Amino acid sequence: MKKSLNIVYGVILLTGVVFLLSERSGSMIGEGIAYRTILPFRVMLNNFHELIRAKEENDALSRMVVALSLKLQELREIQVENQRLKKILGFVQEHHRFIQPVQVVNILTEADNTIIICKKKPYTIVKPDLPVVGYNGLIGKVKEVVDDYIRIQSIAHSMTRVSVIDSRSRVFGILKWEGALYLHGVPLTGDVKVGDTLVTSGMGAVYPKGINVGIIKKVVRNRNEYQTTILVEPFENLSFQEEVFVLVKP
Amino acid sequence: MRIFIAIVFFIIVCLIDLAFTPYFSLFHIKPYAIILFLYFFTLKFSPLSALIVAGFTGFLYDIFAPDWFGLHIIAFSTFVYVEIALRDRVYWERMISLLFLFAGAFFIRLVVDVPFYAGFLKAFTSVFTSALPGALINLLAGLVVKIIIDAKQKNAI
Repeated sequence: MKKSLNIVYGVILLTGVVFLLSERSGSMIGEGIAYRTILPFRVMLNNFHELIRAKEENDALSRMVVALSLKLQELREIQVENQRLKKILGFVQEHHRFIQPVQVVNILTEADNTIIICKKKPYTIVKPDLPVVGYNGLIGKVKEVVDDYIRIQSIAHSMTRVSVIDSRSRVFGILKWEGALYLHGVPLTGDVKVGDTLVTSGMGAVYPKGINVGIIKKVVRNRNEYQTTILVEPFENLSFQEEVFVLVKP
Repeated sequence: MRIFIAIVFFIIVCLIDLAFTPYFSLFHIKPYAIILFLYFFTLKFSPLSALIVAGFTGFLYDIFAPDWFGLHIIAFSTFVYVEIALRDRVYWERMISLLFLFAGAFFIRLVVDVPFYAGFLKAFTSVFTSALPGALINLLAGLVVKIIIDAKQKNAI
């Protein structure tokens, strides 16, 4: 083999070894060269892969949009049918409510009862006994309105009673605050399970039907008592809210 | 013309290996089509140009996988250097010469891929799950390419 060939191989090999050793010793000559020379290409390559991923995601989302659109159409049909049947049966129609956002200015906790103080906009009309919700579920009801300030009695208040039903089994009960939220009025044979969602039943005329209230955390059936002890965790964090929404009747 | 075709193949091979690996990998084994390119390039072109191309290719591959910068340079240039050394002794027209391609592909994967596996056991396992099957794929691909080249040469005669 030619001598020149051996020299070239030696130089190439030495270059590789130098790069390798420099990197192992921490001086990173090779890595520095790599990042300086190839960064634009690498960015381009990453963008290309991102584009492919985005296209795949876009396709999946498009399919989902079509599926959801069909589902929505189906649900609209069901809604129309529901309204027609309710009309035939003479059900009282629940009118839609306006959502009035109000800013929370203070949250008071007196003897384990939570009161939320909010400030409303001057031109809005808010009356007592209107339900108040958060992003995830029920917060409470308007207790009183003084000037632009609203006093909200939350569900974490010993004076609050909320009529609720189990969304799965349609078992009915009354929610009370006793240091924690408890569901009362469910017999020992009542079909309630941990993880069931409770929604407002619409009875009592304060809270409209179907607002999420909480989730059942614990069910205790004591034979010495006549009803099941059910611990409920509210969907809303009642100790901290930035804004809440009053459901105003039109 | 020959050099132009070689450049085109080089670009295609680099794109397969560096840019589109996820779309060309078989059972998560990297294609390393560049091994085939270097093998046939060394057979068809002058030793010096083959060695320089191997060094440059190694540098290019190191840029794209800079964790152990220099490994590709060493592996590719050694592979080509050994091929050049054997070129005078082995009758390359025979199919048996492709065994060198298998050995070379195995060596390159051993040098370039195995150090990335953390722990001895994983590195050892990767010899059988990545290096050997990868070399086998290279051998099969090389066989196909050799058959095509031989057929073209016969037609030319």
